[in-house]
Amino acid sequence: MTGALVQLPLARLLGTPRAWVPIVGWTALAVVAAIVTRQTESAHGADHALLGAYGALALPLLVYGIVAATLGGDGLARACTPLVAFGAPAARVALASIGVAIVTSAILGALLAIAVAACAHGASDPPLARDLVNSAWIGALGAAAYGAYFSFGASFGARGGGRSIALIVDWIFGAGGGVTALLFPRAHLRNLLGGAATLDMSQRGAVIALVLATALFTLLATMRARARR
Amino acid sequence: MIAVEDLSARRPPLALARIGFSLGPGVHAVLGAPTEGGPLLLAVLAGRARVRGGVARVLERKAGDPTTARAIAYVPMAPPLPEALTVRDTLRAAATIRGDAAAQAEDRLATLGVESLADRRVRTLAPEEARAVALVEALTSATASVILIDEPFLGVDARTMALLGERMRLRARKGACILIATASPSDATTIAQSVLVLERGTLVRHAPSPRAIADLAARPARLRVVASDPRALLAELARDPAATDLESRDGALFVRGDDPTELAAAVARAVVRAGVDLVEMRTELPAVEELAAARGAA
Repeated sequence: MTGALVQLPLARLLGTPRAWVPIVGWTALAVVAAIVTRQTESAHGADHALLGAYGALALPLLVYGIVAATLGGDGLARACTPLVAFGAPAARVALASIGVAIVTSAILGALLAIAVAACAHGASDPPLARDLVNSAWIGALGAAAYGAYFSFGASFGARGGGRSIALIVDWIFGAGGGVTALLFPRAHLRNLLGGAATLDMSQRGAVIALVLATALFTLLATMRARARR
Repeated sequence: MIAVEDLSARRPPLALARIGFSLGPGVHAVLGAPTEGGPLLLAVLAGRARVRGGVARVLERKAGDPTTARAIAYVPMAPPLPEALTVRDTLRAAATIRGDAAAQAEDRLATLGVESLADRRVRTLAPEEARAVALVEALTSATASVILIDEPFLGVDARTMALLGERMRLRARKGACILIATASPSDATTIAQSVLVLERGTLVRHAPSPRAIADLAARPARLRVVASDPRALLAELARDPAATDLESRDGALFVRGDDPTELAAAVARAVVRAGVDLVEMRTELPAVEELAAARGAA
């Protein structure tokens, strides 16, 4: 049954060219910003580009677009309704949609991180191969966490308006250095990309926090989809 | 297969109040305008609207129980189909989810004569086409044993109507319980073997057999009469007390009365007195409002 459940979010994602406009737009922005950074900041170009335009702006908005496309621009429960109507369990349908959003986000997040690191790589950055590998897994992990986070946001409101609120809340509270920031992907992604660590949390701690955030937000979104069936 | 006791539900502006009935395999109809609560009753049975009081059981489980969801097919006026998939993929996904054996989409769609829709994306379908696809899915699924359809014949051409009726009867013979909500007494009495009449959210009448349905359809009696000289026939009928209401429209006379036998006799007397040729005389089913008025008078 999983194949049938995954088919709809995939078709929404791949079969709606309009949905790719913001995805391509934010990707282009990150790459252009990386090239500009490389030209103006030759020594630590990759660090600055990943921490700046990529981590702070392009990645969250890219994932925001992917989640919206996967759900067909609807709220999570409403996006699940067509398959639930055939008798599929609401939780499994929601999990399939969230899974597609997370995996797609992780893949595109990793590819974009590689592109940004390669374009902006400077003389004082770590060796290129190692930098690309590190950028890729950090980008994938951060994107996956954002995918789950925005899916949880999309479980609020009939048309998933909670997704936009989640984006704003992450921007406001995730950028801070207090305890509240620990709840949001932005704080941990910043830590892993070489920015300020929230409450002196180690990078290993940030990895664990992002993995836990992915699992927790996925679980919460799934539970809400089941309850709103 | 469906058992309802003291059921109350509300979804503004519709409401149901203390309804009770039970239905087994067969085709059954809920008769009443949409505002009387028929669509809400279907939604409750499909688990799409909350029960506020009483009990609604479908397949021995409470309505909305996830364990019976695969065996319940619900076709509202605007069925929620997966808009990004093609019709073929939609039917395949539905079959996989319900646990039906794989079947060619064209074969399933051919049951309602809409096989040309197979490769269309659902989002490109007109509302009537989307409903046809949902009806095909519901009526050709071997797993779906309770099928709930809101206004199955609305916006359907005569050929599809015949195919649809045939398919519903076939599924009913194979043990399915099909409950339709309709505002058309004609549709209800033609297809269904039992009819529930809803009025303002309450069950005012349950005709549990074809005989009771015939009685339901007969009062008030209404005949459509076509004669060689409608004006002369109209003048004669106007003098007969058995005909309580007369209307001339589109070359035909519509005659109403309290008793169908007396009304037919009155028409026969008028034909003889007027010296006209009788071309056609057939029963016209009363409208929902007339049924409600007749009940009020009783």
